[in-house]
Amino acid sequence: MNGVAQTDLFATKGIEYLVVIVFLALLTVAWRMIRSPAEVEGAGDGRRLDWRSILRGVGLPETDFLFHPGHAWARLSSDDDVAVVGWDDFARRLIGPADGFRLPEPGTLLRAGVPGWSIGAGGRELEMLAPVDGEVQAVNSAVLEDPTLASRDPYGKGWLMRVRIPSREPVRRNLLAGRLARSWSELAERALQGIAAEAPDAALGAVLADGGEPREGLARALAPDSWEEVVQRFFLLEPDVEGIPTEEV
Amino acid sequence: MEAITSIHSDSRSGARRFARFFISELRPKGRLLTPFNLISGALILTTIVLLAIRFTGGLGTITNLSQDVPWGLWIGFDVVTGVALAGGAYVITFMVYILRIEKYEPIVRVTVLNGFLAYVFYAGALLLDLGRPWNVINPIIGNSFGFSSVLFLVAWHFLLYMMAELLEFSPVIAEWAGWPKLRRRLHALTLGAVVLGISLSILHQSGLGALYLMAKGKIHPLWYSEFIPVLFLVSSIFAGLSMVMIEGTISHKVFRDRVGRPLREGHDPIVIGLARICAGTMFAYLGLQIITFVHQGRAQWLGTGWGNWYLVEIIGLTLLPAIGFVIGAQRRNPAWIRAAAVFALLGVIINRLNVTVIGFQSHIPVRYVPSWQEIVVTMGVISAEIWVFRWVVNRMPVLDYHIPSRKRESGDSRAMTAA
Amino acid sequence: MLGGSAAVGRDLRGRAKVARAAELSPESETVTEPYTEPMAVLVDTTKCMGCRMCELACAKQNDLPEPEPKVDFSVRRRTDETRFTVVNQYETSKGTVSVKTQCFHCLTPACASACLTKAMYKTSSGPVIWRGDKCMGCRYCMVSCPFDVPKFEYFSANPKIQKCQMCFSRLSEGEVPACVAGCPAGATSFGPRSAMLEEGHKRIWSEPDKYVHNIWGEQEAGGTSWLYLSAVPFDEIGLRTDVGTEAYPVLTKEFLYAVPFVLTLVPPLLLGVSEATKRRDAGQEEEA
Repeated sequence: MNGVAQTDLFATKGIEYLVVIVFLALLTVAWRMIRSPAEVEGAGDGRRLDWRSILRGVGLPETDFLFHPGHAWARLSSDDDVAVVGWDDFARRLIGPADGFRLPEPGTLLRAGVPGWSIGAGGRELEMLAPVDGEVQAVNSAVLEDPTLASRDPYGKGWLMRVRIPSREPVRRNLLAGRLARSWSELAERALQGIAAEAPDAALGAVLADGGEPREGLARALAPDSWEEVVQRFFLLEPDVEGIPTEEV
Repeated sequence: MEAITSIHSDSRSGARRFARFFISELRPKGRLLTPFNLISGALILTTIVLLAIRFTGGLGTITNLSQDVPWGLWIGFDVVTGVALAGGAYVITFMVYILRIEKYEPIVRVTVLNGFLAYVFYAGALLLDLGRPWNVINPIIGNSFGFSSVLFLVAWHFLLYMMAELLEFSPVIAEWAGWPKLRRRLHALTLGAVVLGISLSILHQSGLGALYLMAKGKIHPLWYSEFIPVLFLVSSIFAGLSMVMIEGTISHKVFRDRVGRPLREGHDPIVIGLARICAGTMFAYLGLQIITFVHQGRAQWLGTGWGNWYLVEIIGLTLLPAIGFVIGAQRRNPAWIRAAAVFALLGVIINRLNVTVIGFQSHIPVRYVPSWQEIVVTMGVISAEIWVFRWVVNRMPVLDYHIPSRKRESGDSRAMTAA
Repeated sequence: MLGGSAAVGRDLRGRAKVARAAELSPESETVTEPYTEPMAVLVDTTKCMGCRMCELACAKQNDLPEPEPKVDFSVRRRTDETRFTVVNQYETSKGTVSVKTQCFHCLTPACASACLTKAMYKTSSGPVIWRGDKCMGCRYCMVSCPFDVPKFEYFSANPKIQKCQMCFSRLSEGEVPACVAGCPAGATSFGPRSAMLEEGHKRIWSEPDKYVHNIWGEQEAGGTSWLYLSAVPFDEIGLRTDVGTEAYPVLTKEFLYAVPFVLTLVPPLLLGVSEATKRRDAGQEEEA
């Protein structure tokens, strides 16, 4: 029992802790590689954005959703050069249930502000402006199979396509978020109310005031004869639009 | 229509704007001369005076510590017990971020805030107890890392855990300051901070118990065992959750106007859920205590004074509150649950004090009793913590914030245009 | 417990010299070891006269207040922050026995293992020294020492931990500890631990009726550097017999050994569970 020094018991502790630190650093790398790629897409965490919560401005939306005035949204993923694109639920409420989506083939080049895809509803086909510049990388096959998915969960599982974008800055710069998005959405809602005020069906106005939604979509309910034009106005498919901000941002 | 604020302000005016904002936020809200403010203010002022005496004249000037009892109330209560009471943070973040139990989302922010502040103030209390606090930098950056020491581990874990908790809470600060980009980036780091926080918590909650392993002959056999670390870890779970329930009750009364709808509506189910978890954990804890009791051959102590005190802790302050939680949860009665939480908390406090102070060196002729100065400083530290907590809750979105809900998916589809 | 506290304040200025002696011995990180093997002291209590010259020698060496000339041996005396060693007298079955106690300089000391800054340091030459430049005054060494040896200056703004340092600075100059040098009865011997154990066993075997057939400190608390021979059972002369034969740091071994494993296993486990609940939540059809 000669000279058993205390360091003998714990001699390797320092190295062990070092190993643990290195291991944890490597773990973050390994985890990113191991975890399912679906994680990166818009559906990953199943969060739903509520249009009204944007309007109410309760806290800040816990999302990276950036809105195009034509009612499409883009979401920058953690990958530097990919954005997920979809339509917002204002568009969904306007059009009503979609019968089908015509989405571009992978490889198609999109230009921001230029029609990028179309939606079939009520027997017509309505285009929507693409929110970003880029190349379509993938489309959501689930939506192609079941268009109601895009109506049920426009911000989550109902995403439309993944687009490879050249850089993130123009996306952030040109699209609406936060307070700006709120202001714009208020304008859109007000325009909608303006249309509702002139609607032939007064009872419909009452329904809307209660927060209810007509089953066939607001456009068709409010303007059964000219609903396509109404939609096109909100989607900025017509050059002259009243009361909706266009290129202000 | 709201004016569209420019989102592209240059950083300099942004910094100045924030500085002005921060200074304006420093102004106190509400009445200044409330009874609570007067009492806590007096405590804090007295504490400052006492600490001046302590730092100039040595620890002996205001404490009853001795050569036989080097650790007293400040370590035994402030650090060892206080950290246990902050255990709610790692349990709640585990349930919300790992298990994704939505029910507890409304309380995650206030719990993380409490956890962070508790560690800051109780680790701070540890600094007050050090003989040479300026040398505390030695085990942190110095090259004399005492790896063999449990205290080295505990100190480092405290430091890392505080950083993890701050990281978890930082999105709230970014929201308050109006920095959405920073907020998003910080939010992305939450899962990593939570994983780190839970791992660290497991080790330092048990580590606080491991600190006393070498004091084998000094702690009364009814409380000493080689399983102290495990027992401390398990009891920190229900201690933390009981503290969450009690603080929740108080916050809802004191900060009534700050409580948002999700928290107000979700509070009762949360309390009932936590009560169930506490009951289950306490049941397991009692099982561990029984195993330890048998393993250490403690039966010989039953019937003695110490034995009776032990039973008070185990039966009166652990078994009975556990039953109280069960009854309260089954009857969905928050009053039962609150009472049980108070007693359960008391039980953990008593247990910790038994190991560290009451049962420590219990056979020496001059028993250690905390001096009034030690008690005042403890209460001063707690008061300061409550002041900071109050300041944060009154300004930042802690009790009221936008919670992304997954449940609304199915709920809303009826309101949506059905296919 | 805090006896002589009034004297402590005054002594602080005098103690500066001692502090330097103990604090300077390892100026750099590496301690210059005076010996290549652990040294020890053999204390033969049958030879001790109770003259307390060792106390005086220690006080002189360490610039401590001189011990009072007359003491009341009926009260158990203990070391404190101004006294590194004390002599006690016990009325035993074989008469009055005088015993000198101080830090026992354990082979695997609890205090050094507990110290998170390595201020308490077990030298390979034997002495357990205290290095003030590293000490934060946390007093964990005091909590861990089974013999309650380290003493703290509770009334100093820059408090030291005080205990016998086995005159490490004297060892570095080739001398024996002051108390050993100052003993007129030759009750203490200094030398390599192996040699001291041999000497102790030799004395026991040559006079088996005179001594208890054990050397205290050979295995106590894992073995110490102060070894005691006694004519009577050790608990009759105030030496603890309940500290076991295992080194105290072994008590924390299991916990500290578990730490790297917990840090390695828990994070992946948590991440895995978080992945599983995420997928269940989002209802993903595609599996990784």
